[in-house]
Amino acid sequence: MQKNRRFKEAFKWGLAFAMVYGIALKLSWMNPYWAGWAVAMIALPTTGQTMYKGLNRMVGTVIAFFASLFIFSMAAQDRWLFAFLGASWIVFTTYKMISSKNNSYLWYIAGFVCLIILISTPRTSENIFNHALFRTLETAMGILVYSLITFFIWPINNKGAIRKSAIELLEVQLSRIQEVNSLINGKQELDRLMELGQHNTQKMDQLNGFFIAEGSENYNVYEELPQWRNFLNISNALYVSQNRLETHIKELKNCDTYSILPMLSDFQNEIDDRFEQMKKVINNSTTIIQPTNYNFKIDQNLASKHSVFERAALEVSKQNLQQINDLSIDLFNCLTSLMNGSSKRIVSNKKLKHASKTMFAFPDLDILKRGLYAGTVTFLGFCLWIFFDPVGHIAWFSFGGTLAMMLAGTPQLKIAMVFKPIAVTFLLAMLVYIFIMPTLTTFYGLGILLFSCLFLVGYFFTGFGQVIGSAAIVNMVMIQNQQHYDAAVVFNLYLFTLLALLFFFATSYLISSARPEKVVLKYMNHFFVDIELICSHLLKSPNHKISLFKQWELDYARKNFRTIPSKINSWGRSIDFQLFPNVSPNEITNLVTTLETLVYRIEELNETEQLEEQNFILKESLLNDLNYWNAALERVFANWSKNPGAKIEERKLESFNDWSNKFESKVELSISNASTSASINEIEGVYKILGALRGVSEAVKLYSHNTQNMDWKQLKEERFS
Amino acid sequence: MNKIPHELALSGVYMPPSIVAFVIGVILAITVAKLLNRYKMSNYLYYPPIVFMALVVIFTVIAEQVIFLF
Repeated sequence: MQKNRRFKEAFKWGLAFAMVYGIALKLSWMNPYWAGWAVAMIALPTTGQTMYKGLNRMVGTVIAFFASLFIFSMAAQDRWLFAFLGASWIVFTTYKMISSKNNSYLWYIAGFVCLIILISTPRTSENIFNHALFRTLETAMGILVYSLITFFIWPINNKGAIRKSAIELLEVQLSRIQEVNSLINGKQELDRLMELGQHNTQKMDQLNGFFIAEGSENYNVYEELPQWRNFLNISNALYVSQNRLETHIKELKNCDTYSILPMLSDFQNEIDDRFEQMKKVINNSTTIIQPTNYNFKIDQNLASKHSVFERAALEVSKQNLQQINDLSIDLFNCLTSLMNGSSKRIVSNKKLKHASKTMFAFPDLDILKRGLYAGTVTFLGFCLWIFFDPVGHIAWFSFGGTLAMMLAGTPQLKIAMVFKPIAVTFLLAMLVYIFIMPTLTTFYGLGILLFSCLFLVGYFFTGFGQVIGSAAIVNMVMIQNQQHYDAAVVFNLYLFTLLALLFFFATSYLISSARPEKVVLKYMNHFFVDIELICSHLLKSPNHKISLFKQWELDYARKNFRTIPSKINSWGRSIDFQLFPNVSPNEITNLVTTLETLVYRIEELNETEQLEEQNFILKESLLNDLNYWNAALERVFANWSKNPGAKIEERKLESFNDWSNKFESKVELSISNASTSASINEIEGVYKILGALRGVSEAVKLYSHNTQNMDWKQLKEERFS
Repeated sequence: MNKIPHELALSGVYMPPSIVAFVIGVILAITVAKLLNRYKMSNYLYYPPIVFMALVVIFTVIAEQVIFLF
């Protein structure tokens, strides 16, 4: 953020903070710091989403209000039921917080505000209601004050952000297509392709963020959001197709691709115009040329000069090119209908193909585990209070739950790293309380102090530093209407904060926050177990029946394995590479890319299931050989699930190459024998299956090559964090 | 050993001895864990997180016994 902008944002933040305290104190509301918290939190890092965040905070508080009243009404006289219900609510809200894409802040608020209302030590039903009501009221007031200030003083809005971001996304998509064209022309730009792929994901995330930011500020944009989300869905499908094409196109280096796919050259020339047109559509330009639809065909005469496997790779590449063509036309139509104000929704058939159909719906077990962790810590905090009653007392229950939710949301966060900044900022805030606050006699002095503190935090700190700084001020500078000063109380609070961090450091082992390398190894095991299971059910005869439980297991594996590379990526980045000198961040990036390639290839293989069932040529002669191939892959995956660094023996590779040469001539023979009786679709189907299976084999070789130098043994070493 | 329940006063803040013992226990456990890491001894442990928890408990109990002596 620029200095000027940072100054303005910090000024608004400080002003709102001082004002809400002034209003709450003037009206003698209960616990004025609740309003301060609301301002401190809605203004935090995602400043572009202030309105949406404010709304989320309000709705979350109302949900928490009802949840806390429910828990009080059920368990006011039974402490264990009380703790159980409180912890269960934290499990539920943490699960929703992590799994929800757009409302995670809402569920975070619903979780921790409920705990805060629960610890309000009420004596009567009226008192309980008052606590819950004032919490909701002061949160609403905090949101209102901050929103008004941002509206009237140096307003910043997100007008046009969606369109700008959509244009940037289109530019990245086009660059990726152009890079693939360079690859076909013989230029090796693999690093650039990888970089553009990452850029593409970032741009899609950014666009999704602007849906929330701009959509909450402008009603017209809000009305258009379903169409924009559709645009993003098609972009997602295009992203997958581009990834797949990029992994296959490298294998066509010995083919004259332009001659075999005669339309490719025209398509390449037209695709630039197509994306330019789309940009013009977004900018409301009127001179629009409709895109030409291409139907890619392989020149069979030229293709027949190549090996069976190259023909298979050509078939798969053709399929991906066709999908890119269709999806980019869908994108064009979606944008045209959006800009014309039409409510007609362009539904892409292609994008549905990418989503593997599953019979069952599943909870995400990883997220459930993190939810259970947050609930367990909340319950443990309650037990600590009941059995030991240390400094902080009942706050162990609420503060425990709040921090556990944060840690469950970002499990890669290392408690040891935040210990020092928290210790220092809380100490500074304590000094303000002890030495400055007793000298103040009017609200003007207090207001200036509050403004200055938040302004300094907002101006000099960023990201998580702002969270810690504002938490230190709100918690340590305890402002009440009848203010009295007690150094022992604030010292107790400081001690409690440090003890709570130690407690969290110990409990963070429960979700392996302290040992990210072990999480990476665990995910590697899950990944290969899932792939092995998926492969074991491929290429089976149509009569092959499986139990309901096996079907459930299989569906879970199909859903789960595709999420693992991104999880390994985020955990891999938090490995302390100083402790593992033989492993480098580049090796982790390489590993993730290789696993992603495997995911795309396995999905392609998965999609050929229907082709197998209907294919006459396969039924007659080749199915047994394909099963032999598949079984060999299964054995490799089973081995890697136990030891991800296991090398494929040279002897096995050689015998596999011999077998594949024989298999190639067998396929040639089968296809020429069947060419009179089988349809073109059936022959194409065989190539697609071969291409998919070959794609998986290539990805297996790539994995073996990329990871053979990684020091897995060192990653497996046991150590304290 | 004085078995009468009592509190420790640190700069005017009264707190149960178990808390002080716990803090000492954690600090000692972290120190031992760092030493075991440094000399690659942690490699011989089956599951260090459990060992860490056990160290915290052991050192806390020892520290509590020592505090009660005074």
